[in-house]
Formats: sequence, C-alpha cells, structure tokens
Amino acid sequence: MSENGLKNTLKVQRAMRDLTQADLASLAGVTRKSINAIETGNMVPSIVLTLRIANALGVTVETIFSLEQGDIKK
Amino acid sequence: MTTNQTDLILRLARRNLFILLIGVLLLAATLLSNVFNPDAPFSRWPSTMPWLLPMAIVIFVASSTGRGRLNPKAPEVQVVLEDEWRQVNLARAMRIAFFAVLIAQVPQAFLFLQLPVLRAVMGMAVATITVAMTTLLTSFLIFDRDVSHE
Repeated sequence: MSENGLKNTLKVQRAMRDLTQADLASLAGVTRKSINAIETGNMVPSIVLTLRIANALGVTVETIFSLEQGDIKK
Repeated sequence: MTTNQTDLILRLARRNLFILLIGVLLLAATLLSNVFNPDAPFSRWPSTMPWLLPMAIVIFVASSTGRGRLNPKAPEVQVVLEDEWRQVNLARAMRIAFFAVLIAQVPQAFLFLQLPVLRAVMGMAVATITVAMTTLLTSFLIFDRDVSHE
C-alpha cells in the first residue's frame, strides 16, 4: 500500500509491453527517475503526466491508476 | 530525444550541483573566518591568489558559451527542466531550506552576539545564505539520487 492513497499497475503494464523504465520515460517525455518514483509510489503524477503515460501505453488512466480502498468515499 | 542523453544531462546537473555546493561552502567558510578573525591565514587565502577570480570567470564563460554547452531549447534539456520528479524534489528541498533558515536564526544570533555590530550583521547574512544554500542543495541532491530498480 502506498502512502499517498494512489496505487498503480504501471510496472505490470510496462512489463506486459516489454518496456524498460527508460523506454516509457522517453515515450511519456519525462526522465526515468519520474517513472521510477511513480512506480514505487513516491510521487503522485499530475493529470497531464498521467494522461501522457496512459497514452504511451495505449490504455485508459483507470487501467493504470486507482485509489486505495480506504480512500474511496462512499 | 534519447533517454541516454537525458540521463547524461541529469548526471551533469548533479555533478554541477556538487561543485556548486563545494564552492558555496568554501566561500562561506572564508567569509565567516573573515568575520570572526580577519587576520587568520584562512581568511586571507583569496588575496594570496589574485589570479583565482579572473580564472574562475574565464572558465565559467568558456564553459557556458563554448561548443560543449547545452542548448536550453533541445528536447532532452526541456525534458530534464520540466521533469515532475525534479520539480517535486526542488519544492521539498526549498521547504526544508526555508525551515532550516528560520530555525538557524536563534543559534546564529547567539553565535554573533559578542561581535561588533557591522561584523555581526555580515556574519548573520553570510551564515543565513550558507544555511539556505547548503540545505537546499544537499536536500535536493539527496531526494534526487538514483534509487531505481527495474
């Protein structure tokens, strides 16, 4: 569980496409450190970056990012 | 744009920040030594090397205008400049530096209490800038270090 309430499947999605962090960083227009920080839950990306990553992987944002169970308000 | 180039720029930026940190510490140590004891050999080392400042300026100008300089409009440089992780780390480092400066004011005031007013003011200014710069640079370098594991 991440500290910021956001969980992601970025590493899985990336592995499914056989992409390295560097490849994805290049596609999304950020540095490899940013991708690593998102994967490890150290950074909550902006909406723009989230959309760019989703575009780069060809999936919707919800496929990659979701809220932790405790953070979903009913 | 290649990631190798981006990584190279990141490494260069980190190296330059290390050099800047060392420069700031050296300059601050000299100025503080001057405030406390103007006659100490360490306070007078810049006057024994009058060629140092012109040489530093020449090196700086040559490195920032020479062939090897980075083009700020190049895509890989733009990626590094606009990188979110770096911006997050810079914001965190600035916040820490701000609080460090605030906290350091009281011990600094006690430290410079026994000095004449003019030297005390000079000492406070140098110490405050040093605390701000070293905290900012050090915390940014710590936050921005490579901890990747693919």
